[in-house]
Amino acid sequence: MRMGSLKSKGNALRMFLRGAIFCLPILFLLLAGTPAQAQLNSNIAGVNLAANLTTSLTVTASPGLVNFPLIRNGITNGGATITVNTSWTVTFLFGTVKTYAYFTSAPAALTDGAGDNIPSSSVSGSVNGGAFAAFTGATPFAGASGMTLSSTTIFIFNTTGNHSDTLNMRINTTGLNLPAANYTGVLMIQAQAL
Amino acid sequence: MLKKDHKSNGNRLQTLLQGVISCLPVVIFLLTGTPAQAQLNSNIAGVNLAANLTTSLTVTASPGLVNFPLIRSGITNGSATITINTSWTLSPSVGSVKTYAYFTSAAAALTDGAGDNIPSTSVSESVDGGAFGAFTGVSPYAAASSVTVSTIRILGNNKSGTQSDTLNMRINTTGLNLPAANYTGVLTIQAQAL
Repeated sequence: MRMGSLKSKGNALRMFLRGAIFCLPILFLLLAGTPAQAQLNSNIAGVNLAANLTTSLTVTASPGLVNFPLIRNGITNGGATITVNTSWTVTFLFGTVKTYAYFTSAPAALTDGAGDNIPSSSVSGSVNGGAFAAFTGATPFAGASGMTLSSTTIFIFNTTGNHSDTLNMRINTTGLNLPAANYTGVLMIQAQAL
Repeated sequence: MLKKDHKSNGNRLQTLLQGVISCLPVVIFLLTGTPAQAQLNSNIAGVNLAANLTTSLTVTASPGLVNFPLIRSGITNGSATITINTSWTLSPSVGSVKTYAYFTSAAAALTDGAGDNIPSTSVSESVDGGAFGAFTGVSPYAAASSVTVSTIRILGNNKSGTQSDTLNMRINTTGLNLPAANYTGVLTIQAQAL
């Protein structure tokens, strides 16, 4: 009985040891982690990036309406100061950006639509508080009915920029012998980069 | 010694040439300016101009006082020539501008305020050096105590204009049997565009 008990204990120990030996590799595998392996890189999926900063030249003018309560024979100031903003992004490193104000018709800057006109020579402007001058200058957009508001030199570091100007206007009715009427016109503001 | 100088000069010349050669592209670049570039025009910002010339019709008369040192029975000239200016700015539909001088009361052009009056028939005028005529005419403002100072036809080229006239006055006290007194009155000058 006692001898049988000892034999039974020996078998149990043996079985335990066998089990332990059998599980040992698995245990090592779990504890040691993934076996050493070669680094594997995938293919390259290239994403092309295209950033296009287009050339631009923009002018804005505000307000959009200036009133002149004319007198029969004399000078009338416009009811508001016009602010002109010019902004640009150009591709060249050297050049100029010029902003112009002009009327499309020199003999009829403003008209009543019944043949009575105010010529551009009777309309004058003061740029940035300077002296008033008639709209009789040449621009790329009108022969003899404009003026240059600003001229900015482009030189490497200001290929992108902006410029602000003010424009006050006057109408001189002296000698025009205008009939009483409502006279309307459009002052064009436009810039050119060259 | 001479050989050394030659060598020194040669080195300087070489340095100078190297400097010029290295600067040459920059100089050419600056002198030739920007390479050919496209002209870039901006948008057009339009500023609407509204000029209103209202209808007007104005008269002025100067001096504001004419004295008559009356005699008991006879003609007395006024002490000053009246200058009348008429200015107008009219719409194209107007056909004429007429300027009138009149008394509001034909029976009492001048009065002493005590019931003694000088009628407009005893007051006469000379417009622009013409013949004297009594204030007995018709005007839009007074039925039988007026004179027409001027009549201007409005054509295509004078919808805005001015007219100047002179007016000399006389008072004839013949037959009025006036008492000694200060007689006062107002000659009214008014224009009408029609």
